[in-house]
Amino acid sequence: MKRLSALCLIFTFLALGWAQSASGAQAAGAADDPPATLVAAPESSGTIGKSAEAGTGTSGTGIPDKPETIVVPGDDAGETAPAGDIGAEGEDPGEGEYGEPAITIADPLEGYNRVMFQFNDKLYFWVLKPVAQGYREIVPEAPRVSVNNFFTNLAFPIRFLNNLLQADFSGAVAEAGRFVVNTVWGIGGLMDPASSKQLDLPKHDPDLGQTLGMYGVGQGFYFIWPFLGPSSARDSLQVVSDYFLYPVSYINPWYASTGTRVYQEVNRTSLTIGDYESLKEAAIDPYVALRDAYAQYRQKKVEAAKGNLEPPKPGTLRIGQAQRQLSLLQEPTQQESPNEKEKR
Amino acid sequence: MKKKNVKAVAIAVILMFMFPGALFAGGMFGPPQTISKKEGGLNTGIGYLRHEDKFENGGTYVVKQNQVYTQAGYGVGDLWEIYGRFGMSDIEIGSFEDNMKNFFGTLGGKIYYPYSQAFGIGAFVQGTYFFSDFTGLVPGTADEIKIRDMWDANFGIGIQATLPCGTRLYAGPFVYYSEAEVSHPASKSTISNRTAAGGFAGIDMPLGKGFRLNLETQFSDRFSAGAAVTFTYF
Repeated sequence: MKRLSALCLIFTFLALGWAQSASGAQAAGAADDPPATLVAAPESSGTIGKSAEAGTGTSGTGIPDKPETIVVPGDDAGETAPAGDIGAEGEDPGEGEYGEPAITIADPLEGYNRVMFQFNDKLYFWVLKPVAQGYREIVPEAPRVSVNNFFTNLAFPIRFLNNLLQADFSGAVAEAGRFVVNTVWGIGGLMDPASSKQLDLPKHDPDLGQTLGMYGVGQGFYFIWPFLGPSSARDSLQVVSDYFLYPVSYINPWYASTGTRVYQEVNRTSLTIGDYESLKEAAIDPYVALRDAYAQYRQKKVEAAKGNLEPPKPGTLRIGQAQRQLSLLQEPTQQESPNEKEKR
Repeated sequence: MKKKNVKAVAIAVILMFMFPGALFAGGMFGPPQTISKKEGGLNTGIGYLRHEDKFENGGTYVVKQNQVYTQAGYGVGDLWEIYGRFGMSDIEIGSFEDNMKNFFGTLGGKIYYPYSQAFGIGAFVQGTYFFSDFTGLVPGTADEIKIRDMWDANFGIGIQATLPCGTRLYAGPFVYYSEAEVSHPASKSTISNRTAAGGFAGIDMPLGKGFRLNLETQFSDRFSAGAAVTFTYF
């Protein structure tokens, strides 16, 4: 019954997301008209989060004091758009620091999202980080990387199925090969021989949100899940699919499954301590910074998947490489230590 | 004593006589020289060993054991290696059969001394312990026989020849000791084999991309044979 309720909730979000995308598309179409509602940011700024200072319109309480607006960093002066009108991914009229179109996401639930952001932020700093730091002091890095490898290997069904759904058959074969090699010769996935220089089987890391995006489903609106973090209406469906495709979900009793997931998260956090802090410190409004970073990351991932449908052109970035680079934004690579990340 | 108990005890006694010998040989030994890189590194593998033995005691009993395992080793300088295995095994002795896959663990170490590029000699020691029990019913009865706390220790010396293509041929003698507890509702005893010796020979050849194929046969009372595919981390 709980699962059914969750499914209904997710489908509702998705439906709302589609509706939001449709309105976003209409807004994009209306962009041909004189920009009546667009007001520019004072200066060109590609820095994530800086745009929030002028445009989020909050009064310090996390609650918008007027209809949500997002300032689009760009060269054109004085352009601000109602957030709900620029919800569809990639439909943003502004440009980033390097001339790339800035990517935003509609945020009609900003009040709720800011509360959840604070909740997750406090959860991280008050609970998760101290626990992860203690864990890091006790357990050396190599075993923690191995544990991360193990859980990554365990998520093979998610990657394999989404590779198939994206018609990326070479990716599916590569993922199957990675799973077999890492399970058999990687001691149940603790090691990652598939990534060794002899085998060099790149990791293909698609997810359902990316798959849906590839087939034209827009991100919808921004939504922060408690405990799980940033998501969108579209990507929320991924929460459900991942639940059913991730073997840990089938561990009985339920608290063993939950405990395993908590341990996985603590272990993962122990390998990425500092990443979130850096993002937060660099931003004037961390909420907006995270939201924009999320929207951009997801959009890039969808674009990478779309690129996979076309035959690779000479000199273009291949999907595997693109995905690997993008995945670095979100989670530690298998067998990659934080020191290596710093060097990179 | 009831008739069925007599039968059960008789079978238990037969089992106790049957276990000495090559029955407990625990897995393949591998080439004397580590397959890890010279600077020191990991190697992993999966293996299968089919073990058969025959015992005569008023009748002929064939002992069969299938072992599958995964292995991880760490070797340095082509000179030494330590390794561990974790696997499952079944057992079949005459009418006693336990198809349940029982878990076992193996720890071992080996050293190698190269005479030249092509030839060398090495020694190994290897021990195996079965974590779970083999259980089965006495035929025709509801009585259960348990074989528990099974372990073995092996020591051997091997001579190795390395061909230019990287294929390694090796052979040598080995000795081993094994022990287990056989229990039955009517009796319980610890059995151990007489110190037994045998011989082994094998070939370890590169397959490419870091993989190697290891084929090995061991002989004591009957032939046993196994294969393993290993991977060297570079």
